[in-house]
Amino acid sequence: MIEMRSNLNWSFSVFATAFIGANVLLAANKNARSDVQFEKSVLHLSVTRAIPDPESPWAVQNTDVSGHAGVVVAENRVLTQASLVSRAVYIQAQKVDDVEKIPMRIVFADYEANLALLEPAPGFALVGAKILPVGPDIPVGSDVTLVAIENERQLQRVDLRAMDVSIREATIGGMTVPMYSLAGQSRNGCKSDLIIRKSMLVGLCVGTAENQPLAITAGVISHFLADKMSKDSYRGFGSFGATLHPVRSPWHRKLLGIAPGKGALRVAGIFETSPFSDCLAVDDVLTGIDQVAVDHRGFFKHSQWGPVPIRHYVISKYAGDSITLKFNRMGGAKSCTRVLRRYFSQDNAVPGLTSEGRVAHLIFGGMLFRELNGDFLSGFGREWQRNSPPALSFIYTYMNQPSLTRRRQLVLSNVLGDAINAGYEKLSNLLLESVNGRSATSIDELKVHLKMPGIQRDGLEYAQFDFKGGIQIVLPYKTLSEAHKRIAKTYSVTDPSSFFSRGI
Amino acid sequence: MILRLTMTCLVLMQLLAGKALGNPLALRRSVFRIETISQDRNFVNPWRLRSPDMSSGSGFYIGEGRILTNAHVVANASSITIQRDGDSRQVSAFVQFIGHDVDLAILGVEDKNYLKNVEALSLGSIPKLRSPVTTVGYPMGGDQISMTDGVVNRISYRTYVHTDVDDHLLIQVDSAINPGNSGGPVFQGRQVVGVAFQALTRAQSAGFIIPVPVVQRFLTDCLDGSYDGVPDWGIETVDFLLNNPSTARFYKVPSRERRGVMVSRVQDWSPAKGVIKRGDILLTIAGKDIGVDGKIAFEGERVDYEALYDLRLQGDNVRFEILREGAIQEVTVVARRGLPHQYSGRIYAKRPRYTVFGGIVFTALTRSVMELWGDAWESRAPLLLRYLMRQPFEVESVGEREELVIVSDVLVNKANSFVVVSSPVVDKINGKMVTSVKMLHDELAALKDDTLRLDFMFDEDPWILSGKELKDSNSETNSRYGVSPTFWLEPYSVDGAITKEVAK
Repeated sequence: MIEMRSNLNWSFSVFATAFIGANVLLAANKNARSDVQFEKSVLHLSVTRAIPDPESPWAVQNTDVSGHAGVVVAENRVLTQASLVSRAVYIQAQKVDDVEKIPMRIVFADYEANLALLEPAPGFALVGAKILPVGPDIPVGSDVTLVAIENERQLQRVDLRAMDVSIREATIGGMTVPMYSLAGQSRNGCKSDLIIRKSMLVGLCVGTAENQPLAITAGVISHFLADKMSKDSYRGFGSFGATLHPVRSPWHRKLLGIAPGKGALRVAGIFETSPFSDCLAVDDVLTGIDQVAVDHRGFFKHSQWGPVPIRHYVISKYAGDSITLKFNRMGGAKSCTRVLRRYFSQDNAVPGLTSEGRVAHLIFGGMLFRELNGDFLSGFGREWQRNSPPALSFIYTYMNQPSLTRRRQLVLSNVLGDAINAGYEKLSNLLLESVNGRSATSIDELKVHLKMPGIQRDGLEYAQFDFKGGIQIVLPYKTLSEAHKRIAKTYSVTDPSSFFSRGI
Repeated sequence: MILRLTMTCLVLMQLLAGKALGNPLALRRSVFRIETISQDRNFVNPWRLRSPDMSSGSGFYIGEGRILTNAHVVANASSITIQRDGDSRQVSAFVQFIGHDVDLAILGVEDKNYLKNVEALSLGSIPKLRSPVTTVGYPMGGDQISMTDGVVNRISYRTYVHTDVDDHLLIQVDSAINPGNSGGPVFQGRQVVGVAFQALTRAQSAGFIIPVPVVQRFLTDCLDGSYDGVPDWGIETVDFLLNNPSTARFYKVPSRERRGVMVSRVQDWSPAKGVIKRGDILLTIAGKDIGVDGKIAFEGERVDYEALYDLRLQGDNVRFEILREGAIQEVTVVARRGLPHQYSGRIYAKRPRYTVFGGIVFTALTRSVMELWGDAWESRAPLLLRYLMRQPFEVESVGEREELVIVSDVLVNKANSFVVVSSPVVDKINGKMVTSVKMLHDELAALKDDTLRLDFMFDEDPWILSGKELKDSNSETNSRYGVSPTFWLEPYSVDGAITKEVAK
């Protein structure tokens, strides 16, 4: 979500955990920054993207060219923000002191962590580029330099200080990762700006909250790079799959059998995708993970940052790693070891933007059905959380649990007016409950249901759609094919797969 | 019913029997300037009132010592004075009847002699489109009476902004209706054809008046000594669906001319519950055909069919012709109130319902609470509250509650200092569903010295507190924060209770 797309980056401040510390503008520590050398490591990336039109998912908007920074992290390997290269049709890299533009391609992108690795297209190389090593996680209070590349020629340097570390979504509906809040100079946005300290990359600025830059930490970057550059296949970040709340009330602590001064987190919810779903229960009290103890606020002590939420510990693990949870149930100590599952926002009921491939949709008699997701919500503009119908944003906010079968909410987004759907033109943003009496949890499932026999009435076959709120509409199958031809022509729907068809 | 109709006729005859009046200039002595001092309620700390506010409006004499004005002119008034054109005296007035749902009120005066020799204005009928009207009153910009000419632009069915939820007939005129005009008469020739009451803020000279049928219904409703309010409907229909030939055929609609509208939802509280069902098609109301647009012919115009239902008194029978499963049936709905009003309109009671326990302030979720986020609350208020206000019955269990109870404030003390308000809507108390402020108050009053568990809607983090500690803190907390009284549980009873409370 953070700077993920030009049309979705606004939402960061809404989702982000407000955790900005005091507005202290600190004098730059010149000594800490005197050895900053990075000019030969920073590239200007020019990215041409073809983003689906939020309101006409079969079409793309005008191609959009934008520029931002990339950093050489290995030989012919460039790190950048994944959301800025999603749906890229052409990428070029240019060194700051060079006129030559090198065509690039995506090696791999983890859209959940919002990190991507690029390489030169076949036949090209980044000659003369210097590798910038990735540093360690830095202590809170460290002075850093933000390096942005505003255009092809000029680097911008801003002295900042890492004020805080908090856990925030790296992208809309995506994974939560630790991020630095950087104080010193407000910015309207960050586009893959580099955070450098002592000639090492220590963060990647991917967004802002209340005009304060926010940067993914070096630990997350190293995790991503080590994973991708290893010989094994990419494992990704581990997911815990449960919601935890610190128990503040002394009375509640007493009831749960938590000794005074002891740390504990109450298990408040467990997703069906959680590897611990078979051994953990609501109201269990988490006391530690592996050898790490939970303090009374639900924190553990990080070597660089001090007390931070225990989730930091889980994020440092890979999918496929085992962790052991230690917890109390009804006063008795228990433990449970499970293999972490990879976090996928696509598991959620309302996933984020589709970063690759086709945006799922289906036209049936001019009725445009979509899956409720980031692509759909982005159609409501920058202030989509305010402007979208509350029923839709409500599902995103309160009913967005992941599921093993990736159940989606389908929406009749709007009606492409035609004779077949006369009278239905004003229907929009309706949540589909069933088609021909069967519930559908994906566009594919909707197609399957529609292919089955519909409702027979007086010798005609109809498809009957029921929506939340009680609205019911019907459309005849008989004239569907002719209607689709008209609609394709009128609305320039060039992809036949956008339309429902009973044929193969 | 017969008695009521007869009484209505008597009133009308009395009104119409007034002396023949000249042009509006001659009627000025019957139009009053109304000044009020009012104190709005505080919906966070409901035992407090906001600062007094002075405002003015207009009103006119309708005979029998009664002055008609808008409800919003005298809502929450602690002092009301009236002044006649050409008379330097101001005399005290009081509310006899108030109908917030129709934004009308009847005032009486302390000094009966003040209205001696004042001519009662007579009520006319609905004016024709493009016919001239004169608005008379005391708008801002001066102390003198003002008269503005205009023409009738439109007769429609729209929201009355005083409660912001009640839709009724209204007439749009192109004469300016400014602050201060509210409650003033709008003349056509010698007769009052409406009461000025609201305007479009973003349009020039677009004023609205309450038409005579709505005024007459209000006057009739008050004849038995209390105002019972406009009956609620609680039926949702979808316009234009039956404009679709295939749909009309599917549902076996009898003819092109009589298609009607399809019922999409019948609320549990609807007076039509058990009579009309989802999927029924409403063909006629009181013998008038309902079009596919949900409108009926009315006084030469087309207005929403609900306008006709609104003009009925509680207990009246309203006949409908419906199409159910292909067969036409005649059904009768007994008009009555039913909407849990606190889910929708603004509250104009002496105090909002509330109870304070252990420093935790519980009150009912109302439109007035939402307006704490300003006029733009529909985009600015927390999503959960917006959703519950807009689509309360979409959330399971809401229909089983008399009202939704929220924590509006926590007056910090030792017993509650660790609570964090995340979702403010209280779902359960010690496992029991919270159905109203009163129910919660009773449960708290009966609480033993053991655990108080409060669960909140869409929040996995309950409050577990010590009942004894909270009880012990009551006295000191209430004293420290000036809480008095510590609870207020009077039912709102929409308008009737308010009338009895204020009327002298």
